Amino acid sequence: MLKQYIQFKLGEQSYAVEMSCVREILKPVKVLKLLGAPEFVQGVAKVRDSVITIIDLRKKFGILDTNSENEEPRIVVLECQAESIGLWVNDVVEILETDTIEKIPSIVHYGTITEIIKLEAELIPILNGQRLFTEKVAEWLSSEDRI
Amino acid sequence: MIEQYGQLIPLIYDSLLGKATVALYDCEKYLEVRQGSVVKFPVQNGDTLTEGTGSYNSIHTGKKVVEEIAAHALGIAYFSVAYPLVENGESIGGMVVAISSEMLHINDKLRDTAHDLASSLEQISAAIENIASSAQDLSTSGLNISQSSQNVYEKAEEMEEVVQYIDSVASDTKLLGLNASIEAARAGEIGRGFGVVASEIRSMAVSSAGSAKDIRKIIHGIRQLIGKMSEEMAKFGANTQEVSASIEEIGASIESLTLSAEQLEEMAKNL
Repeated sequence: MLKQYIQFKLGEQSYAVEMSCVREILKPVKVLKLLGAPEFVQGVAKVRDSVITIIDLRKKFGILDTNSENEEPRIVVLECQAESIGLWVNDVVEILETDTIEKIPSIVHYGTITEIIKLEAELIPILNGQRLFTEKVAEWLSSEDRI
Repeated sequence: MIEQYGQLIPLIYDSLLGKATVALYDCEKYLEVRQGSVVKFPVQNGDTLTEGTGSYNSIHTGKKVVEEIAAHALGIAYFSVAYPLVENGESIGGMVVAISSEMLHINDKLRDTAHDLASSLEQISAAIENIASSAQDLSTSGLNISQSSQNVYEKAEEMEEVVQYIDSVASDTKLLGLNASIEAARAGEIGRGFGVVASEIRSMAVSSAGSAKDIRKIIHGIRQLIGKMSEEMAKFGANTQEVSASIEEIGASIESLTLSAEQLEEMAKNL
């Protein structure tokens, strides 16, 4: 069954997220840093009439800063059961429509990545948007642990 | 006495630098012949005067005889001047001088040569002026080209600004298209048509961005070409300057040559 995904980049690596989890994509906005917040939390930002938390997974995934001139950073707003998270990404590539999906063991990245898109030229890990909101993951993200 | 006139022979001979033949004769024969180094008369002391020659005619006409003889006679073209010597109304003899034509003509030749030289130098001078003015035009053209290429460079920079604008519009359009697709998906079946539109918008954005990239490449290429042109123009400018300097040097040489030629002409006139 064909599903739609938003393909984006963290660093040089492509990831995907189900489009059904995505509320919208924004240009980077002014982020208010929350003192004392975990490292992966960039801060909060005002989007339309609401406030959302902006997170940066690069630190957790151990992804280095790129200084590519071709990328345009965006904020992918993920929504799950009335909760919103803004995910900072280096670039939004395009919309993928595919059904070539493979499962991988959920121990990888604490279950935030459970599937992979198989394309001719590359493999793209699918970020499980809903799992990002769970407490366990939040704990993991807050910890110093790297996977 | 005719023999007294013989005292003049050394004088005349030496004054012609020994190059001309000088001879004294009475009414019948040659009394004294001094051969010149250049013109050698086929006569000796004691030879009879030959009928028809200048010497012979001078006695019998009682007048000076001047003849110009071509080179076939003695191997060299010469002038002969024969003067009768008269005492008491009667010719007692005469003196003849045979001198090479060249010596007489030499100052004519010199004058002509100096004149030709001066003419040639004038022509060269005129030609040099032409070259100098062409070099000047060339230099001006060079400046114009430099100015034009500078203009092109500035235009290329302006184009770059426009391209950047296109880029930013393409980027915004892409974002718009993505969000439109997301909304269309959320709307489910109803949103399908809208989803198609959103897809098209995204395609447009991609193609615009692609065009912008291509234009950028072209602009970059133009800039490089201009850079090369500027280098070449600098060389061109340097070369033109060298040419101009050389022309000036030549001009100065021509001037001093002309001066010398004029001095020569003056000297030739006064010979």
